Amino acid sequence: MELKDVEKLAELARIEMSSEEKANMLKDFKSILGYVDQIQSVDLSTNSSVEKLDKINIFREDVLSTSDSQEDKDPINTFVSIAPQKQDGYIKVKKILS
Amino acid sequence: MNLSELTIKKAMIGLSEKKFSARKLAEDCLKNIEERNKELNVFLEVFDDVLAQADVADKIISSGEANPLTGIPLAIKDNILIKGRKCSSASKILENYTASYDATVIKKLKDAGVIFMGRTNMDEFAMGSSTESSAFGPTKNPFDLSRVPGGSSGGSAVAVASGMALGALGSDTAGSIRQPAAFCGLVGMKPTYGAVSRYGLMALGSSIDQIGPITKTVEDAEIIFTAIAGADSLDATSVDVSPTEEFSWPSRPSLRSARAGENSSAGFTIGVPRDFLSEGVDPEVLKNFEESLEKLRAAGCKIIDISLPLVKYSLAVYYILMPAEASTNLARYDGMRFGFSAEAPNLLEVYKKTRGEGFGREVRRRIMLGTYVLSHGYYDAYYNKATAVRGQIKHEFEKVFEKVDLIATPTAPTPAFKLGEKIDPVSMYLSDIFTVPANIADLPAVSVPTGKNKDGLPLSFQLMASIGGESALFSTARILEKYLPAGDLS
Repeated sequence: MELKDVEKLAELARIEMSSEEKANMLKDFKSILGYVDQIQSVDLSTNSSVEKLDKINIFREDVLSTSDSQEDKDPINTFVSIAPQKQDGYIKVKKILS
Repeated sequence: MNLSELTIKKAMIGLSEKKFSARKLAEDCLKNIEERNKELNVFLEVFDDVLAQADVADKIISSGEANPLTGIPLAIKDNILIKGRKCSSASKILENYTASYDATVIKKLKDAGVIFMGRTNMDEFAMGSSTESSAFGPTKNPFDLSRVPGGSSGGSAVAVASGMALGALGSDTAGSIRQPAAFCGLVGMKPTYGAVSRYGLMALGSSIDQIGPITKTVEDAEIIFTAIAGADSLDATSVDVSPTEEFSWPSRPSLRSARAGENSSAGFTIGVPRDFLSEGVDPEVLKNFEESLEKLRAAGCKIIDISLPLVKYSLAVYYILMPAEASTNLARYDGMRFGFSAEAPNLLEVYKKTRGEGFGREVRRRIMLGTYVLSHGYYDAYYNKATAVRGQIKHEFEKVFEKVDLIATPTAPTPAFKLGEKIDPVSMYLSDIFTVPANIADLPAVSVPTGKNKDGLPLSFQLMASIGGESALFSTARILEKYLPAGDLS
């Protein structure tokens, strides 16, 4: 891993960082990846019957339910009201296409 | 009242026999907060309506409608939502966020008539093992102010240890309940994955997180666990596990028959993974662990050596899966929907400045790490490999639980360490080495205080049970507790 990889990651993760912090991050990454790389030595061929975790996705209908919102009469307003910027019942964001 | 010795159970009796009121109990907690919160930095906010809550509880008690937790003052970790109150996960990015709904655990505790004292300090977004990564300064260990209380639920542990609340809720993704409980001489319990709803808990690692209690005694932990456990339609991973009912999981016949009897721990077989304990453990911790095993043996438990060759990889697996999940979960903090939003000329700059300024260093590090292990070209080597190893570790535990009822280790490799001692992230991460396997394998686990070292710092013993094995866990932990000196807190 090099400094340019850290810069790429910061861009992907949408995090602004000083160059000093990027240099420190690179050092930390080398140490952390050095530690976690030990899993590469685990031989998974001996027990191929247990390939993956038994976790499954659980889906539900995407419906607005007042019973789930704990007596909140106006859940949409509640949701919008906590946004940093809003207008006419909508969350306001900066222009996306320039 | 001496709140540092008052258990929830004793307070319940005192309240029901009208020896004292819920108001008096709350006032005494507030007095301790007044005296020591500034020095220890336990609460990020003490609620201004504590006495009003207590008066409501007193009315319920007078009307004869009380249940076990009515009027009991509890402290809540700052990542669990209480409707209408601030909740920040000890992060600048949520410093002024007010919760718009109750977490399911809070709803259950409100229905029980609990008094919420305030929200407790923690590592930012629960990322840490010392409470030092809080954006609002570290919490101090009441046994030695130069030491950490553990983390990430450090504030919750110190609130209970210093008599500011009778119990607390924490969350545990790698040991964040059990390790601070251990460092503060308390009982900390992480339920089976899914046993307690996470609806309204700020997500860290969604395939791993659990909410659980920090208390003075095993019995108190069981009281809170019973109140908050249960399946919830708002958390799709939740399931019904209750220590008082037959579990829905298949378990060993000896466990099932043992549940029927009162003295149920006698005859339990406890496995000790010796290989796992051979490196990096403080000699006093190890000596105390052996003495605790002897106590369990004397009480009729069978202690055998077991081998879990893959368990040592749990922490490495965790430091791939947790950052991956955290980087996904924390993508929601974009400065658009809620929380802090930085000023910038365009959308991309708003994102980057908001997240750069709003998140602390450890959070930024873990988001970056998660982004890396999930990125094209590294996904197979890290995320997929870690998921497969996790499956193997779970399988290894399942095999061992065919032979033993419980597994024992020390809770942490050392007692509470010094503030500022662990600068290198990996050395900090290693303090979770014994607690993280239960999270990786979805198992319930409890930490029980087992005396102190020569410097007066608490030591602790951890028991893990099979999935849904809360009953065996509690009954064995109670035996251990019975043979220990009563809680002589500082």
